[in-house]
Amino acid sequence: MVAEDVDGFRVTQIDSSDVASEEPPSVADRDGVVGDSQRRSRSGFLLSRVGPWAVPIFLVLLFIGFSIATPTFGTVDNARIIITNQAVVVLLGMAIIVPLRAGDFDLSVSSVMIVSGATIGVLHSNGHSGLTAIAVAVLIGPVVGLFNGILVVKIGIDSFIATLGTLTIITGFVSLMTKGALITTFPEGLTNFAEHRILDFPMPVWVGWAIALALWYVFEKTPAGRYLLFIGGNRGSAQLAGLRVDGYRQGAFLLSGTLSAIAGVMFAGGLGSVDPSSGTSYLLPPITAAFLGASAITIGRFNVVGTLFAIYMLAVGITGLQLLGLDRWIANVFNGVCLLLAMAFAILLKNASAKWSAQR
Amino acid sequence: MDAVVLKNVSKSFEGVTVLHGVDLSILPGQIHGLVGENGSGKSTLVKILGGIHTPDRGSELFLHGTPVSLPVRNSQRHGMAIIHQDLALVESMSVADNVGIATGFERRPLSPIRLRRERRIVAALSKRFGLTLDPDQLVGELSPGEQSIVAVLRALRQLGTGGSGDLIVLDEPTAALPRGESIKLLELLRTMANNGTAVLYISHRMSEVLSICDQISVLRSGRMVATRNAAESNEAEIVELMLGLALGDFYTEKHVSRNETVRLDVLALGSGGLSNVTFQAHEGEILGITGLAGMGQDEIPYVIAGGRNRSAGEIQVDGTLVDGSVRAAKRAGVQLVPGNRQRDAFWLGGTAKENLTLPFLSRFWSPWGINSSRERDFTMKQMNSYGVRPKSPLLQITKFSGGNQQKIVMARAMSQHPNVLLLHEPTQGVDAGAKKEILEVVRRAAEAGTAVVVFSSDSEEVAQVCHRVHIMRYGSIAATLSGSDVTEDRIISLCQRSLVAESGK
Repeated sequence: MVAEDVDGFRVTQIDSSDVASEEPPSVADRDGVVGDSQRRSRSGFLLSRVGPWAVPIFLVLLFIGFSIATPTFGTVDNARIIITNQAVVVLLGMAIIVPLRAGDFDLSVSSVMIVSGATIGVLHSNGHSGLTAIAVAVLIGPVVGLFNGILVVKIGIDSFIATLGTLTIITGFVSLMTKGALITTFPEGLTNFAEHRILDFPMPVWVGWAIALALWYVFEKTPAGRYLLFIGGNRGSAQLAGLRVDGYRQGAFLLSGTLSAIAGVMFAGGLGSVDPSSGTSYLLPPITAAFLGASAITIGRFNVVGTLFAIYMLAVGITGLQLLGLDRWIANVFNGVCLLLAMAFAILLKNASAKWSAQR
Repeated sequence: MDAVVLKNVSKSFEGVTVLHGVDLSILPGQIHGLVGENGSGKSTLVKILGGIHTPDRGSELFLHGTPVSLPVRNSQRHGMAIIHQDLALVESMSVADNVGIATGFERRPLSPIRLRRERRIVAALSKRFGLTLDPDQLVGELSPGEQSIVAVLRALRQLGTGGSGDLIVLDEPTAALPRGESIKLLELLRTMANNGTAVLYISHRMSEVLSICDQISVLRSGRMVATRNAAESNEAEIVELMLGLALGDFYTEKHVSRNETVRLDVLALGSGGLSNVTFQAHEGEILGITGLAGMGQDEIPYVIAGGRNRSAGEIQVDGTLVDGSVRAAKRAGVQLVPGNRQRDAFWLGGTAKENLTLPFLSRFWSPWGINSSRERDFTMKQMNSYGVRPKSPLLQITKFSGGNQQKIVMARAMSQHPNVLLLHEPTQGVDAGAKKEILEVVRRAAEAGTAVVVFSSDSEEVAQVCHRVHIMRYGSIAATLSGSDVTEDRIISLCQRSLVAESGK
């Protein structure tokens, strides 16, 4: 599940293909006649069937549970509030799964969001037009994406470290730009747009869903989505198969940066204020959701639908617990616990389906 | 008295029996070969000996006449060492460290390792078997053959004695070794056996098994079908016992290509371990390039296909120059089937379908995205014509056996209609039945006009399939055989010869 191989040393392996050639002939009996029912243990079978839907099921159970426990939770208004609050997280989640699918981390997403949001405010209060401010803010995304790509793809720095560096640099620049003060002046057109509602949902929600839909199409329906998976799964063999590995990785960073910057515009418009120090609190939820999402729907693959379910599941869990009287601290604890549970669950799932073949 | 006796050993997993009442006995000082196709139960048997699996009720194991309670606990204490194919050595550590670590250097965890003593032990062990190994050398710098010897030495150290009464089990130790490399290991086994150690030797390589073993037992679908004296048996008989049917002539007659059209023209190629490699492959020809380990033949396919940089030379495919990139080579119609398919060909998280169609996914494009039913039908058709079992396009690639994985790689390469097909160790780790099918595909490709180049250290396979063979020595082509000169004996003797000698016609 971890995108990079961080092992310090290699263990001698003359040819791993030969090891496997003897090991997993499970289904590959001479005639392939082993019955499906015999192939998996009953619990393994159940796990592999229900497993992909665990996150959505958990979302529903949480919602029902909290609706029973507190009178204010199970209302249409509350559901709408939860969805509206997650608009920006959805955008960041989409931003982060693009490079993750290709095997690279981009930790700079939340800092790009903040710098993009803050830029609008700073430029606008210095007398620039709203459109100019927004255009500049959105452009920051691909610029940072290009920078990340050069560090990771061209120079070859580990993506986790490289984007951690970018994150830190941007955070510094944001405090320089804002002098640490809350930014509150934004173009009226932007705030109006963000407050405009269709079917009772404000525009940032729709922007997030539209981008999610587009990304779902790219991931699941186009060769590019498959290429990203292959590159993330085995960069060497993707290269030998003739894919433009470097191009796709660079492109993933560009897209990730751009989506983060768009998230920044929606963030500024939706809230009407940008706190320059709030970047870090927007980093963990999308990462958690991305990995949680990769243990849902299509196990082991970063995917859009899983990530969406995970985002809303986390939000429902945290909101519910806070309504029950727990304080702000529960957000971090819940995120962390869910991330660890999801990882353990994914390993359990993998083992359950591999169990039979390993025994042979 | 027998060193090991297995009586009526059975093992089933959730209703599927993989071993049916297997009997096996090995005398001290004897090398006992165990052969069988992939999935015939060899590894399960080894895992029972190693205590990883618990055999079914009724199974019995005797070591030197004493019954051992099952499952086997602490096989070392019973004088049993098992060397798995993945040697589990640490490349970045020295020979002495790798040998010593198995016994914790006989020190408490926080007391210092006595380096001089460690070196002495390794030197003494290698001297006893007439080997020269530098205890301080890094394992990563050793040849694969020497690495396997280090693994054996470590096993001997674990056993402490390395003399009579011990049992050493080797699970396909030479599968990844070039033929010449395995000789040293086989000599070591023979010396150990002469000292009274019992050896259980598992291998796919019939000629090795026949030459080194005293007795050979054959497993087929979990049943012990026969035990033969190696001296009184032959390859055809053993293969027939393994498969339960006669394969006919394993290697069918070569068709001879008379076409002289050059499809691949390699001129004065140089790179890391290669210098001045020049050769041509013709339309409809199967060209073999072979040699001992590390002579450079493993590098050439990757330089041509673009995975590795070249420092000198020119490559032309059908008259057009190919620069060093993978994409240029692909455009010119070069297809590479890499030797390490899991590392260089597959995304292990993907299904058979996803791995098969990757390079030409855009073929399945429709206005609404990839047409996945068309993609599945295509995969199904390919699985049918290449004999991939099971025929499940949506099954994860890792669930297929080595031979079937290789068929999928072949299908993927052939689906792109190659002008030049480069095969690196095409049948490594592949069982006999699949090997025959894969070589048949190679032959069909050549008949259709593709120039096929086989880079292999399996001289038997090279001799049987190739029309012409280049033999590599120290990064250059040292000799060439063609026509009726292409025989296994000639290839082996030319490989072994250290001086640059004759070149054929």
